[in-house]
Amino acid sequence: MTDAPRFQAAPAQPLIRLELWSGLAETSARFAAAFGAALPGAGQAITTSGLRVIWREPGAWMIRVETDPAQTILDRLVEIAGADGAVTDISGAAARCVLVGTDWRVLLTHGGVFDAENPAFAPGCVAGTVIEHMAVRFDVIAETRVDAYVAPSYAADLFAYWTSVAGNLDVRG
Amino acid sequence: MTSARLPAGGLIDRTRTIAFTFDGQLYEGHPGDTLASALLANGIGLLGRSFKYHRPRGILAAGVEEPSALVGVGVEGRFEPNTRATDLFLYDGLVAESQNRWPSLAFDAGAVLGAFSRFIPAGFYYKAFLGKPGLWKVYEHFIRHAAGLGKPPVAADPDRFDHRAAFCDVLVVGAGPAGLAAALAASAAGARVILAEQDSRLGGGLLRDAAQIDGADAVDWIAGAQSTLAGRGVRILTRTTAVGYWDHDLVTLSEKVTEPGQAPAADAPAQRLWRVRAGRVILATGAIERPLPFADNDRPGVMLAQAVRTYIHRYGVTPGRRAVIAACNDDAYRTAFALAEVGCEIAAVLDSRPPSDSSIVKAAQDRFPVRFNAQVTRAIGGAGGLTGAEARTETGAIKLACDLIAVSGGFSPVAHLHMQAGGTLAWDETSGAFAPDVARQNQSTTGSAAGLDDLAEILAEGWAAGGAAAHGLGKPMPKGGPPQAAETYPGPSNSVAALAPPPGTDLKHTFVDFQNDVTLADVDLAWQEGYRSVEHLKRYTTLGMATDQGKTSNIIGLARLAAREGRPVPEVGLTTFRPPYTPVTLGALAGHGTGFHSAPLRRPALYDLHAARKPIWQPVGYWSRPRAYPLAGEDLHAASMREARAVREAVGWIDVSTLGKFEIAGPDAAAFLERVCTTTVAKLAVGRGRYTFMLREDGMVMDDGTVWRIGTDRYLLTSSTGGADRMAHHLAYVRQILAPQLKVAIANVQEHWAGIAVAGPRAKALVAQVTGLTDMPRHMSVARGRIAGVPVLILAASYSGERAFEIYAAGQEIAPVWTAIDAAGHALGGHPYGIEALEFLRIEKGHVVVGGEIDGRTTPQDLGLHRMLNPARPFVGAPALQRPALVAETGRQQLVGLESEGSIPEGSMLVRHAPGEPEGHVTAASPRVLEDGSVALALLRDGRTRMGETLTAWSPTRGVSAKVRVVEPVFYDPEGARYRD
Repeated sequence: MTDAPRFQAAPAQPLIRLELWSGLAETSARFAAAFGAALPGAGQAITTSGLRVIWREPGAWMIRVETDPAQTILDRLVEIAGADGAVTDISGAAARCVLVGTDWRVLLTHGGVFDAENPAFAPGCVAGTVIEHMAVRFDVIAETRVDAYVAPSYAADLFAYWTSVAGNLDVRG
Repeated sequence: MTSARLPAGGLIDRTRTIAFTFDGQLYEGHPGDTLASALLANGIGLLGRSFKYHRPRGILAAGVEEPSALVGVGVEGRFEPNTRATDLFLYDGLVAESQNRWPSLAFDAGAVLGAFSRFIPAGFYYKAFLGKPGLWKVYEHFIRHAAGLGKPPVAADPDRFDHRAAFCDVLVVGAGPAGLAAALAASAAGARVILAEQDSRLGGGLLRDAAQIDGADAVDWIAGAQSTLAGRGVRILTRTTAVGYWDHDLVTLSEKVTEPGQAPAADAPAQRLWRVRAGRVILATGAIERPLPFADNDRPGVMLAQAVRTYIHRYGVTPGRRAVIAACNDDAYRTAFALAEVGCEIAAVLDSRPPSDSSIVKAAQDRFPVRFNAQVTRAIGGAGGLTGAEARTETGAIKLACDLIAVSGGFSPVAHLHMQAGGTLAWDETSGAFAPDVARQNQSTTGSAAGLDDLAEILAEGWAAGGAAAHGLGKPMPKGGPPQAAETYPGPSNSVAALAPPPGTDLKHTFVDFQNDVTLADVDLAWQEGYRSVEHLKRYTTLGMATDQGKTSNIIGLARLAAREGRPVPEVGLTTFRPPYTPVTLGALAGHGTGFHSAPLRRPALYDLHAARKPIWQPVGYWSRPRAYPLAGEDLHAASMREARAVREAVGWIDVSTLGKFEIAGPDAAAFLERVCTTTVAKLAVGRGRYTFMLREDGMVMDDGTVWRIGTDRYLLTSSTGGADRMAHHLAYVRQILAPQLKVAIANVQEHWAGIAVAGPRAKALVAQVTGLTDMPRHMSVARGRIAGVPVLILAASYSGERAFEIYAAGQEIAPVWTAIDAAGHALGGHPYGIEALEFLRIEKGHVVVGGEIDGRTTPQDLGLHRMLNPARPFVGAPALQRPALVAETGRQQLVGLESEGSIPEGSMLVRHAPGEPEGHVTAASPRVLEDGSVALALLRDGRTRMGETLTAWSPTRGVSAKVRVVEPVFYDPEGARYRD
């Protein structure tokens, strides 16, 4: 028997992109001072002060605002970035799907080329890959939960694909 | 054929029976049987007819190398032709049918071709079908009818096929003794291991021959090893064949979740294609026994010696009652003992070698008539089976009565994957075989695939390979040592090359490639006609080009060519092994990519609102966009024309959410954009925008769009829908590679902003009404406002040629904006419009589009855009624009307009007179929206100097043409008065 992963679309939350062209260490320190934790490093994500801060690419993060009004956070981030970077509201640019269950790793090996079964891909890790032609970004929240971000235009097809696969998941090995 | 199930033995479940049909006749077998073993058990030895001569064919092998026993299996959409009966495990309700026969297998009218075989040798079709070209249509009808093996399914496959990725430290391909030992060692060292086995159970050759390993019977040892591996977390994949070895140690595995023709369990896939990325790959793929070349060696009843043992020991079936063993090695003697154990009479063992003192040969001499330096020269029999064999011995020709000839012509290591991985092969003259030599990737070969044939040695080498692979990845060497084997007759097989036919053999009936009916005479003929390269030989004779890819035939054919050339085999060479190793169904390759779309469907944020109007959809890349919204009784053309007229005369609105959109921010944003865009950007005032386009580094136009200054250090750049992903990559390239020093940030906001374009003479009124704005932005200006309470960004830009506004809102908030515009627009006499009407409008306006006029080969000069180029020329592609070929005065295809009284065939070529030399082509055509006649955009050689010329737009493939007049490419409001207040 398998613990087939369950998944559901998460309600839309504000998304902000922070991108730096200089002063990474200083900006990270300012961020830590404001929100309680430094900007996560490559391939990492953190939750702090009502924010889920997800590394996207060198010098860029996607920040999901879970509590405070987005404009407040956006304004604070603009201050933090200062002359070292820019902040852009990208709300709605990615749909979030929450996958729950022990076998989410198995599910994510279908239709793609990503080593989701690697134990090193642990909570706090993020990675981007392609599943069935769709660019997807994973944010491991716990051993039994991963958040998947996908462009909203792809979301319906991705969920349909996962639904068909999860119905009979092969978890050998 | 007198074969039958043995009263006991075998690895089949005799407590259960399985019903199946073959050619409509009901039979029974047992779980664990293949179709081949079950048919043998039922006394069926004739399974099909050959491809060309319709010769009766039986079962040669017991595995995937089988060239003869091909059947169609399944029904309707699950029907699968050319399935090897030896690689098809029985299941309840299996329906199989023989191939290539009419009206029946026993009486096949096509067998008459055999009588004419001398007239249809290799390559006959290159010589026979000559004459006037028109005759080819006559020939083709018959050739098409006669060609092909098996028939395709007539319905769509109803099943699901999976694609899956896997990663591991060590991938072991093959679970025979070497593979099992390798997996045990690698997993003992702590490596993450995948073990792939094409059979339904592990064991490989251990399922064929009795042996003791670590003090246990081989079958029990296999079970223990499997349990140990599973306990260590090794992923064991049975019915899974490694079919392709690609760069960087990527191996594709084809897994049969169900057997061919079998319905899968609910929600389960029928097959699964694995893409495995491995740190190290161990190929333990075994060896394939070769047949021997003698006359009528393809008759039912001629079987590989190891296959005979497999049927006896694994399936509990004896393929004959009186057998001749024809061999060139010690291994075949095991077959004599195996047959004798189950009561089969051994008529003779004919060993092509001189007398040997190996233990098994001596033991055989005590029990069977063994003749050395002896060879079978002809099999005697037909569709009903064998009656005897003719042989050449030291004392002369003899004739032996038999119903089975067990042959062993030596062994070919399965080096296919090694070669696919770029590895080289080495020729062993003694055994007459190529074996893996130098590996080019992180891969090693072990066991029989490496040329080994002693079980103890195979186990030891397999263990060593597994340990070394794990150690190479930083794991410790495994504790313990390799499994220890004990056999009655240990030692190597002492195989010698037996690739040449006995002297005087009837070469016309000595088959090399059983599946394509290629004989030694065909090889000789090809050589005589000058096909001296092995690659030419292969293609002229079709040797090795059938579904078995020559697994049993290549070496014999190659040796014949080498003999005719008088050169050693390695000098003649070997054809290249390419994926797949065994046939892969198209369903497995397609995976989920079936149905209307072979790719995902991208739905814009307004998809549901559009769907409610039941539009005609148009795929645009992965996107699905409304092409038109037909009203009752309208077809596409009528709906599109109505929508386009609405834009020209009143107002229309269209979903433009799919456009590429990027926010560029930072103090160097303008400098960055002037690298990307060919037009000036820095001079734009805040709140203003302009048309722009981008070049590739070779100077060709890549995309176009608009750029807007929406803040002091912030710009919005739009690009085409189809080019959005390409533009995202281009921006990243410029940012990271060409201009890393710039202080700029780039955010892809394609789906953050959903958009609606409102166009037409009443557009301004509509937007003013829904926003409440009194001061509407002038053309190419920006405003902000609210529609239905939703914050919107308003860009005054026109693509249609009318006064127009692009209204953007956050994707999740766009629906009420559309609804408000839709309601107000209808009240103003307007309609929503789709991309068909949009196309009409932009063609009239002479706007170029990516994929049409921007086709990757056009420069700004070609498209008449050169006057917009930034004179400072800091942009990507600027240096390339100085190349002489791009600035030549003549010879380039240039954008022009075309006019005609009738319709202009889109995509047609432009000629002076049809038929004639093409001088250009029509890139897009449209009816005039408000007048009669048609217009088109075209690329025409030296087009700008040819205004007023009359040409023919000619499409020979569609059989249509139209007289057209070359004009300027702007047909509507060339002064641009309509989109300015």
